[in-house]
Amino acid sequence: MKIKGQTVKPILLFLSFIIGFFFILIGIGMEEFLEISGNALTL
Amino acid sequence: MKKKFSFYAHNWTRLFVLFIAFFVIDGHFYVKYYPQVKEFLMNIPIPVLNCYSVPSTTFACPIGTFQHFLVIGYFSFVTVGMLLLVGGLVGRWTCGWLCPFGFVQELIHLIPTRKFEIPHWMRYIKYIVLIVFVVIMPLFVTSKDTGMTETWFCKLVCPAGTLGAGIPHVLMDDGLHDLIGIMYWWKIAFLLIVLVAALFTRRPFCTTICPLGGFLGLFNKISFLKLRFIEDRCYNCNLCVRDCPMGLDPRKDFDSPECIRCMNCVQKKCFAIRKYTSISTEIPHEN
Repeated sequence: MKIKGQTVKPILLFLSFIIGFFFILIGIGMEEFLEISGNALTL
Repeated sequence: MKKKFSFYAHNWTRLFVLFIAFFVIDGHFYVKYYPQVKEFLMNIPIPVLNCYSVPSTTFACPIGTFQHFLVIGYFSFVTVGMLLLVGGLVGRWTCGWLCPFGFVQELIHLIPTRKFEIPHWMRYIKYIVLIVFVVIMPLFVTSKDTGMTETWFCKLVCPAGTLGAGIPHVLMDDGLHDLIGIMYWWKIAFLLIVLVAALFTRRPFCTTICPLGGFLGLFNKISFLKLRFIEDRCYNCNLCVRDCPMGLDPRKDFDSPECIRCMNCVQKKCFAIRKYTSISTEIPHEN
């Protein structure tokens, strides 16, 4: 089935927002920010 | 008749925003007086190439952070999530309006010399750099000195780190003089190559090597912020081609992965290149 680019692009945009949002939530849950600042301060 | 104010009225507007961003990101004026601000912001990777080893920086570098997590055996969800969100929203806009190293290259390019265009095939090098130096090498290639994997892009390539961190640290700390080795001189030489190239060509590092620009550029075709070319309005003045900081032809490359959304082409009098968003009520017609 051929899907036009104009249909695919909004879907990809929506997916990037959803995945990005959940990745940030997962990262916050895993306390990634502490590791980031720890890395930055010890470099 | 009063002229309508346009934020994109002149390239100098963008250079001024880049200048402000440079001082906010590198925090020279408030890091000293508000260390608690730095402590908080240092947790946050932002979508520009700013080395977190720069003595006065306030934010974390997404490329450095991503590699660091790979080195310790984790995947940086926050970094990738932030890049997906920013890329989805504005594509490569941050390269054009916020990146300190892009700003340095544009300033150098203002020096009048004979200018050249970068061969088109070199634009693909940044994807090789992204895959090899940022993903594969930090996962698998161990250092002879430590026996562990390293943040190889930072160690071998990143000229932003050399300029902002390597040189200042060595100048400020005499104890580091004994540690200078061939790697340091390689990075100095590479930085000089990039800066000299910036004299003669437009944003050479962003165009050919920057892995962050390569990743964000992948979103240009789908991002919320879009550009469109309206052929009827174009009278081939070529001003948009002349003023593109990435050396593109905006009439053909308006959604190219190379476009940094500087909007230089949008403010031309012909209005042939229009910007709009995914929720705009009036979307310029396509060709």
